[in-house]
Amino acid sequence: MDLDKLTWLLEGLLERTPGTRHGLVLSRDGLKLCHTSGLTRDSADHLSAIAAGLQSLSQSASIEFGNGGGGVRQAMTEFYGGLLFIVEAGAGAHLAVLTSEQADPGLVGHNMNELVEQMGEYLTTPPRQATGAS
Amino acid sequence: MHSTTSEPEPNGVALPPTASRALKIAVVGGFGVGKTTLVRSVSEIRPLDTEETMTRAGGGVDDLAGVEDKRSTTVAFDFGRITLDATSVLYLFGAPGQERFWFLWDRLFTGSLGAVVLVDTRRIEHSWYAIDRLEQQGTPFVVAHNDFGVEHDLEDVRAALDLDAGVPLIRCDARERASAKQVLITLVQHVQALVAASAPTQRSAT
Repeated sequence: MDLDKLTWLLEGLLERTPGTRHGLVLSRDGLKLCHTSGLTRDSADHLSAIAAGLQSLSQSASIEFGNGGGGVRQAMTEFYGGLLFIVEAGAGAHLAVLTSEQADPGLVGHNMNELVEQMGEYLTTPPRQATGAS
Repeated sequence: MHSTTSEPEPNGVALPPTASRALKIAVVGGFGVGKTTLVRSVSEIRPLDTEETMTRAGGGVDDLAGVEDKRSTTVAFDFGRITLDATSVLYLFGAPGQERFWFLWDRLFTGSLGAVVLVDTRRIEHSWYAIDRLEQQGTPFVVAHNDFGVEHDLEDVRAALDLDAGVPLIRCDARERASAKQVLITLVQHVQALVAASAPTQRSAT
């Protein structure tokens, strides 16, 4: 996986989406893969754990209360001072974006999904222990 | 790890209408000691599942020594429920074990009656943090040695953990419903004993 290329694509997402502050790609077990330059390493670690937890809880909500079709389209949290968006991004990874309160949620979500399509092939974090021979 | 529990999930046991006492219990301990397994084996409802496949990103971070077969890990929390009697219901909240999720623990402890600390003697140091944190917070707890087929003298375990003599320490098999239930009963009894010891005048007045 080319993490430099991913980081560059993340920075591009921030540039073309008003109100966005930080972008982060994380593994679904809560570890950062890459992030934009404005996030410190400690903040990126913390956000990775938070985003993994939120996505997992959202998944549980979809299983319990969804239509059975499965899957989480997007998790979004609105708090005083900002918004947090998380979408699935390839097998085993999530994309998280932090924005100001002024950001347009529709545009942020659209651009995130566009980015995921664009770089889906890079955004995979394979299981640590493959089942069967590897 | 559904297959490792001793019984099929008794899905959807209804809460008795008389249930009036909700007691919250936190299950903590290091990475891979069996917290999720314990909540699953004892819960009478389908447990909330926030296990995720462990990815290669965790290669240098999550230490699998002693638990090489582990493939998934809790990233938010486990949640289960068990009815004790006509009025009392235990709500179980299992914490994630890795350091990156420790910030969640204080929220899980809030309002808890007490906590269960699970210990794996192959990786005993993974449980020190949980014990320290609970002692600091003054949350009552018991320690359960999840034996993974290796029996140790409980006094040796107590010494290795530097555990206060007043803290109950028992052996358990987190996969066994009866064994997991015994751990919870030990905790409830321990909390009752602490309450009885700290407020003798109030009790005699009632």
